Amino acid sequence: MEIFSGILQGFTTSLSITNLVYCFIGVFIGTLIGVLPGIGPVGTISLLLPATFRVEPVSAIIMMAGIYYGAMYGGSTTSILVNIPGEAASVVTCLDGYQMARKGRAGAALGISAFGSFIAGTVGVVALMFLAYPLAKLALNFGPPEYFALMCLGLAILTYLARGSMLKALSMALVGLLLSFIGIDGITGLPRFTMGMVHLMDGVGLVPIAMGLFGISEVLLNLEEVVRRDVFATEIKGLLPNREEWRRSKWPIVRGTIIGFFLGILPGGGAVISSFISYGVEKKLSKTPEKFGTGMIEGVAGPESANNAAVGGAFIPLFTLGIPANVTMAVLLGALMIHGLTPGPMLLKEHPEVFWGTVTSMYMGNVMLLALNLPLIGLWVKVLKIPYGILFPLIILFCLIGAYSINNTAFDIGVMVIFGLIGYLMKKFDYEGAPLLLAFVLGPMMEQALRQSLLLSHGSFAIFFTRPISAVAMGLAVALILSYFLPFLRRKRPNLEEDSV
Amino acid sequence: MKTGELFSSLLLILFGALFCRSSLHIGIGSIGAPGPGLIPFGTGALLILFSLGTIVEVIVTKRAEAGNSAVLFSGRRWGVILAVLASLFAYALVLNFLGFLLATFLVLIILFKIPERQSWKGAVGMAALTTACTYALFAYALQSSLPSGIFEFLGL
Repeated sequence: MEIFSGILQGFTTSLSITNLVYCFIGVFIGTLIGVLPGIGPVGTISLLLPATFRVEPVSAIIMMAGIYYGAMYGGSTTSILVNIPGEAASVVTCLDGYQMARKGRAGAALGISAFGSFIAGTVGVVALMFLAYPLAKLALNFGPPEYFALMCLGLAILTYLARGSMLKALSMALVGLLLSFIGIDGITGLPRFTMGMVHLMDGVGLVPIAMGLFGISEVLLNLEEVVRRDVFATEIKGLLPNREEWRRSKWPIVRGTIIGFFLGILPGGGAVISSFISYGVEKKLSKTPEKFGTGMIEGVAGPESANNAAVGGAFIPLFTLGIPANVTMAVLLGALMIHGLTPGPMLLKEHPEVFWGTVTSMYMGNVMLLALNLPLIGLWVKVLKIPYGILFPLIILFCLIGAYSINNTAFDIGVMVIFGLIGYLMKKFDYEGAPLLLAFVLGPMMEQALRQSLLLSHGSFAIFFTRPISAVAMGLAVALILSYFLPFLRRKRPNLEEDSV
Repeated sequence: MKTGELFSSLLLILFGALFCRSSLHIGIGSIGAPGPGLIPFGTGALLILFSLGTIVEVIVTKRAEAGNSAVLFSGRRWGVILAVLASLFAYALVLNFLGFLLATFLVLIILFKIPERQSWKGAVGMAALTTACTYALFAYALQSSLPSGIFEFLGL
């Protein structure tokens, strides 16, 4: 019964005019940045964080969540019409979506991705509601060893799925941890690694790092070459897929939803990975796998559903354990903490309105997105035609203002620009930003959990392997890392894009 | 391009070493009674280990896909990147002195002008318009406090 009173309370919160407006702003901006290249949900949420300081926490979270799933919708539009993914999670949609557009079925491709996203997004939210309570109850019994082991597992999965060398991804996670240690030590109160700089006493800010790594560096990469973005010229007509197309899309949507949701829950998993896996599954199950890549609607319906269902899944570890499953969730965690809320099992007890309000607002958001993305598709096509020379100064300017207004100091702008440069070089040398940022957010929690665990065990690492939950998580983490060094398994590693950035 | 890989790994080793040294300085305590430096020390040590591992991996496996650092300086437009980065650093330095309006106007002229070879007129016009719009949005609509710098007397 707790769930139903929760849902009721949630709708009371999310249906208030203010929150509906914030939800709309969120999904609108989300779709916009999903369409625009060079800025994703991570950069945008960091950017808008200072603007939400004066807003109720629940409204702020509703809006930021809207940006996240709105971007999933917007990203597919560019994949289908321009063959450029607006979002990493829409990379696979390019394969068949763009081909469908070339065959004159752009409308159907856009339609099925919007409907698939809507169905999957909604199912994901329902599943989120029913799983969150039992999980939060379970999590109340977790001690420092369990938390430490789960966070290790999250980082291990993320680095395992990273592109290229896992050693490099692990190095990035360690750099993120080291950066997070800068500032006052939570236990002794001593300043650490500040190099005598007053600005570093509070640590390096999450927002400047996130915007540097995922905003400025993207802009720099886009500036490097003049990308021609030819919007598909033919008129988009008939957004409703025909009966045959629905029949072929039905099961891909169902499978995509399930794959997306469960991969979304996994720390380190998420929208990008689930869209790739869904595409692979559809191709494998198809009677005509050789036709994939020539405009198969299954290749659009499955992945698009998966990446939206993953959004619902990704909120589970954040709200029940306080552990972000991916980088966007990490920034959202930072946002919650700035608003004075500590995500985790206690959040559901102490601030149920935040959890239920956010979750139920996602129903509203999905409905709004359907309206935004089908009838208003022409608007987004126009946005696609804005030349980059006008767009990028605006993106940079918003980043500059966002970095400044977190603490009203120009120091943070400097930090952001430095991380913009670092992020740019990391792309050049094939290092990923996602492990760095996730580790940066987890760092203080991991350190505290590890120190408490070691105090509990009087210095024995065996504590992580004698308690069942932490033993399983730790075992999996160790196995993942070890498997990389075993060459016969290595060939099987999926080569995936960066997580939902 | 192996040199890029080696160079970046060496940088990471240096980064890890700096943290290790500083950790020793603030005290690492012992495993049973961790000091403030213990976990950073361990993290830094692991970073050094993994970066050494990357170097070994690069040398041993001769991975074909090992980094695309070859293209780092080959692109024609890296001058644009440097100019953009330099102007953003300059912005951070002069923001408090010049104030939001002037500093933003100037940096936007550079950003509009450099990469796309706009006319000066166009760049200045768009910079002015953008500055005015964002100022209205952030200072009035969102109530952010932006530095007024040398224009403080105007009460903006």
